[in-house]
Amino acid sequence: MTTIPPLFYPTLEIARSLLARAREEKKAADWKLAHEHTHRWNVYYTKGAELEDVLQSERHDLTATAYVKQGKSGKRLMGESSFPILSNNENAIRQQIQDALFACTLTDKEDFDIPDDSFANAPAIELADPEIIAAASDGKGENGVHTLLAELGERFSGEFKKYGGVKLNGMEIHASITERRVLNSKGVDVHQKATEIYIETVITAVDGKRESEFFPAMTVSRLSDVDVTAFVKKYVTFAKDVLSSSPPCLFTGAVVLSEDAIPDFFAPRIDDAPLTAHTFGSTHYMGLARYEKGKQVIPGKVQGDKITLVNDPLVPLNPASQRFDRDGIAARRQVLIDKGIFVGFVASKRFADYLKIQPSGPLGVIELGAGSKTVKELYQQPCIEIVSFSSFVPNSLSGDFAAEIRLGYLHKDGQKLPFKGGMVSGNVFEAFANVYFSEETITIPDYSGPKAVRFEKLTVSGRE
Amino acid sequence: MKFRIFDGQAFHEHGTSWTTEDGLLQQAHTFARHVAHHIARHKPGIAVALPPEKQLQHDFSSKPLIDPAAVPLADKVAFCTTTYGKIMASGKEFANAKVVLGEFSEVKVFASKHKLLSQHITGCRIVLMPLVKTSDGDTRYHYESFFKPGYEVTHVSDEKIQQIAAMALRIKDAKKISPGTYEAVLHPYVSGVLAHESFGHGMEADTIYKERAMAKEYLGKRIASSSVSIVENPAIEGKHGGYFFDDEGQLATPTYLVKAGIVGSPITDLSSAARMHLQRTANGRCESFDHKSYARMSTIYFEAGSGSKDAMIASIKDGYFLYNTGGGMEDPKGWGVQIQGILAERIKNGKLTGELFYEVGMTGFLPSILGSIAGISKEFLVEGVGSCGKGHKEWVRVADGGPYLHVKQVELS
Repeated sequence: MTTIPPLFYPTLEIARSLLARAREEKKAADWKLAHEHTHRWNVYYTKGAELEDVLQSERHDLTATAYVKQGKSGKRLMGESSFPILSNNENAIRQQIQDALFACTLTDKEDFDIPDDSFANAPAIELADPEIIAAASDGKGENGVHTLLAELGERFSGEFKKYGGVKLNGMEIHASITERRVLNSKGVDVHQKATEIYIETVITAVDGKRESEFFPAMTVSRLSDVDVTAFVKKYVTFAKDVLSSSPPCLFTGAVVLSEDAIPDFFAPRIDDAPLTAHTFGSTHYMGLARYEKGKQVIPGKVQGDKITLVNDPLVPLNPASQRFDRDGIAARRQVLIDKGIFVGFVASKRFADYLKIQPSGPLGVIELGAGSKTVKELYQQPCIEIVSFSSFVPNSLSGDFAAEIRLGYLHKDGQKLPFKGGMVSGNVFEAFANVYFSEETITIPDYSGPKAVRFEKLTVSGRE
Repeated sequence: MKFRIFDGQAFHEHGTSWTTEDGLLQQAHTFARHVAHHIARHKPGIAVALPPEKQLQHDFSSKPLIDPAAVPLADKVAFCTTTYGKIMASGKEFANAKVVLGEFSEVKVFASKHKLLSQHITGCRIVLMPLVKTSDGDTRYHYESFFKPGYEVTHVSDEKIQQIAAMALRIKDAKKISPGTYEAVLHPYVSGVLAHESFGHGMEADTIYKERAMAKEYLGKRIASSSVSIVENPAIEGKHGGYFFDDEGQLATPTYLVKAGIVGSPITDLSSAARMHLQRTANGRCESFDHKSYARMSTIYFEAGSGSKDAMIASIKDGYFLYNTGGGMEDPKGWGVQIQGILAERIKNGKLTGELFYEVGMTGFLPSILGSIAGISKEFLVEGVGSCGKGHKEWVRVADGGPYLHVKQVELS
């Protein structure tokens, strides 16, 4: 780890002192400071596993928020203004606070209270890999983590060489240690240290002049959770299947999601999953939610398995886990949908106050309840299996989606025929009116739940 | 701050948010020591020669008509509040609306053995997004975004605001499309995403070097009719993707990815240009100081043609007008098209019918789509704000757009 004096710790104290003074002088009702300190070590390999780039970095992000209570037209309102602190110059920070206090007078949110320390009893879950932490601080300097990553890179490279007909045409391995701290004027002071390892590979399958690729990535918290052998085996198979695939034919019927398509559907990376977005307190407060507490989330008659959805930010050494949310509210496991009934909100302190509910803490691993059928039963033919989307970006409010298929299989007449391309389209909420989940479950970053999900009626576009 | 050393084979980079002279010097010494240690311990790989550079020193700056820093915060809040009010007042059906006014001021300094450059780029964006409820409780929305170097971005007419609100109301009753192959007219918002996602990503030299792009087979070959040209241009003024030099100190100039139907030069970062012996283009960009630079797009568009939107629509017996998209995803190896979140309107007997379709996806094989371009309008629009990732990470600001395109065959679902 770097030996540089920690600039931002004294800076944080200067900001805390100035914000506290503003509060004493009744200029601010409350304040919050959020500090994120990230060390990053990345190695990049290009074609032929040739080293292209070695990166190391350290960054601090310190953000202050001022709150001002005010009354307008007989209503109690809350002004809120956040700003990044970029220098340790006391006068500059003082001016930023003045600007923020003025900005607060221009905002007129409905009144709410920031959390006090009774909300901040953050559970002690393990989020950091001792091996990464030790390599970063055992005197080997920055090269310690890079050495670990280079060794991992060699393992991947060696494993790919065991397979014929494939090339490893690129690889990135990133590791990071991120410390987060949130403190406020009401006594909240919470801290967490987490590690993350990200691996991305470019696999090219070759057969004479024909080529195809698969471009898989994985994120874990712990180096020892990287199963090089299983990763390479799975994605070499996928790359080769893409090579032997055909474009799909137009299909309407049962569609089974498995493998990478499952977390993409239930915990997409770019936007919120529709199933989850309608549990958000903010969505309800803005009048945009379709769920009502205590009522079915899927309207009308539901066939098949009913959805049970749990938010669990407490899974040890899972990159989706967190000890607290951005206000410092402690993480907790919470049922959001129970057998098809909406029972729990995901809400920050602000929206919890508005809705007169308890704040939920952060969003973590999305846990989907297991179903009534075995994986084998879900593949009743004919059906289409989707193992990977090119990108699954549903409309989080309406639930509509149209996603290109990176790799799928047509299960028909006892055969399993790979295809690539075409789009599966539909609406999440309509699709869940007739769905079956497998009994068998998996736990991976972002998602824990059935290994396979069968929607009885979806449409895949393709040749007619 | 990012330090960068090239050892003849690979780059070594050290990023820090440290900003004092003493601290930076200390980090520079530590970094140099680590690089020397790395070189001593690792066996040599393939030697790479960086392209030669000329001595250059220059300072660049955006030219906003209205400096956003000179506009009182109260005025900015008032703009948002007033605009929100105008949207909500235009119909009882609105469940809510979002009005976003954002601004950035970006100062970058690049120093190397040959260059000392600085650029100050300002930008202001607004996003207008009315939300409506359908009769069965769904929430739908329409949005448009606008970008200018300065606060002049707020000069959006009431008529335009009403148009955006009116479109949201129409979306309330939009249907799902039946999957199939259709004739279509693409609005510049859609033609820009087609150029960016489907073509531009495949022309990134680092992607081509990793054998990830089918474009390699087409370099120097015809892919479309001679009326089709696609330009990647960080130097186009006042657009969200613009800059004066890239994150590796290369001055911004336009690059023809397709010129008169022939596939041209890939866009490069320093590493890929050196490894592939290609011309450097100003496309070496990184998300921030703690990320690597890659070959990335900035502002991409089809060049304008001689047709007109109205004539294109009039020529279609049965097809769709594609208004807007929610984005797309690249597939450079298969050159597949994936654009989702499209808003489409049915064209029947040369006229827009008013029948709308929501969350439509476009797919297909890019060379087939480019080959079926039957018309390119003289109307040309590069508007709004975009954010582009490489895969699912490495986000940079971009813009796209261009003319209306008449495409004979697209797969919609």
